[in-house]
Amino acid sequence: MDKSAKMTYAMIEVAIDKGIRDIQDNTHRGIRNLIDLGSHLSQGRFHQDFFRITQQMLANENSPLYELTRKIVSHVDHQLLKNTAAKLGYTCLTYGAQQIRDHERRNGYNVPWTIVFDFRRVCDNRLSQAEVSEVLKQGEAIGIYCGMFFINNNQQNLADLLEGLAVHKEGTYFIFAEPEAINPDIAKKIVENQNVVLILHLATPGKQSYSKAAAVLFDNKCLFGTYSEYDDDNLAYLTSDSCLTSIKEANSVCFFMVRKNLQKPENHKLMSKFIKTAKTAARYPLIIFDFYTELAHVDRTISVEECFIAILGDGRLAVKNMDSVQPHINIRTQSFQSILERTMPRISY
Amino acid sequence: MPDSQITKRALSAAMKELMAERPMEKIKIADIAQRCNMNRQSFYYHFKDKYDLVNWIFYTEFFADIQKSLNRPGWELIAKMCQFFYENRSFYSNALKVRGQNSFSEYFNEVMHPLILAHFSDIFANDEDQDFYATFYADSIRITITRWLLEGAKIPPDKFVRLVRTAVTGVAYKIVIDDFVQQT
Repeated sequence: MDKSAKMTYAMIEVAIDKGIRDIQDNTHRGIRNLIDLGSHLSQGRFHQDFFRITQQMLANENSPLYELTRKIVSHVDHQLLKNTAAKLGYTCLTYGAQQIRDHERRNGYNVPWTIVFDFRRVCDNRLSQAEVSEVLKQGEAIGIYCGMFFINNNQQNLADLLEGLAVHKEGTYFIFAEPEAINPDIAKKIVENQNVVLILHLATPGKQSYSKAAAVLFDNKCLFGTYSEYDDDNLAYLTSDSCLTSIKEANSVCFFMVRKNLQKPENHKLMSKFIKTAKTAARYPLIIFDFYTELAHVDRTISVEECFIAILGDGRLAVKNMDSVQPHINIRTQSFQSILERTMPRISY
Repeated sequence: MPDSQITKRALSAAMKELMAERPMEKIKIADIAQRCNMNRQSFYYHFKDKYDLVNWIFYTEFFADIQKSLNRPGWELIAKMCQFFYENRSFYSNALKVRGQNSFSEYFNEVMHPLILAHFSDIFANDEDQDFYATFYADSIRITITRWLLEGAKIPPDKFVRLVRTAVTGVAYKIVIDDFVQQT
């Protein structure tokens, strides 16, 4: 980071520190002021939209955002909270976004704002932590300061991943994990790392392991959320009061919904309406995201075009979504930038 | 512009007017609210107390002013900061006079310290004790700026920065020369 960015980052940290203190003193006034401050000083369209929508929601004194804010500030480690907010809001979406735009302009191909790693399938020749780290380093060099890891229930793999991510201090990482991968030592390591948000898989409704893992993360002051794939069969349940209440009761702060196989037009409408309502007239103290739509929205704001990219456990690439695997492209045989050059040509200028 | 921003601007303008007229400790919330035709409740909807409002004015105006100068080299940024304080010296010398918990002087330190620290951290970037050195300079410059403002900023900012710079580099130069003479 250059000096100017370091100083801006320092100023943002000061604002967040004060914001946290003010929220502890008076949740309603504290969060309103923090958002007003962000709105007052933000310059990019992405941030301005975010702060404007949040201001509108906070204009309703009964907005569940107030409960969510109180919950986060009371239960999440404050240093972790500050780091995540500053790194995601500034390092990733302002400083990194500018680097991405500059790189795209110079090189003529799109750069995603986040790299997705899908390590859920067991494979013999899994990418080593050193190889993952090298990809992250190549990403940071062109402005990508966010990574999203989908992993299975292997506790050792998660521990190794956390160990590897600890050195990438400027990035923010979302780890989408099975509840069985969580234990108290892992939760402690997450807080130590200061750069990880854990997203628990809501595998089976009401499954004990989900609530147990959530309790471990909550007790250790982690910042954590929930995710689930959705399709025609489970969408009605995932958008129901009963499901959202159980996620809320697990103290999850966000809910990522990952599209898997949605064919019925009425379900597309249901999902679109559900997400719109969640953003404008939320009924639950949860931030709800449609995973691919949200990633694409950020890509379009930074790069004009969508540019999703995922790296699978064996190094192969997937573009557009995690299921569209490109069998002939592998991160082991080509640099990350040459893969982007090949798969992400810029169409609009 | 959202309503909350409009209200905050009105309260900020009223507070700045009042600060130009009298010492900060003599300003009551009712005075601020009355000056912009609001009730006290509206004030408390936005701010905890008058210090909170002064902190808001400082952060928003200072940050907006220096944001575009953050990449200026060496002492130019310190000069830019001092220029900002000089132009608003009656407001800041008034605000800094109030001490104690939640006062502006506490918040002033809270903002200035990490900012100057980040500015100096590059100079000592490869040194294992960089935090110590950067903190030393951050503390001394912040305290010197505070003293300058409390004394009414009688020295113009360009001269003030020149003096601070000479104090820092002059001592360093003298130490290097003394060491050189001793070794030879």
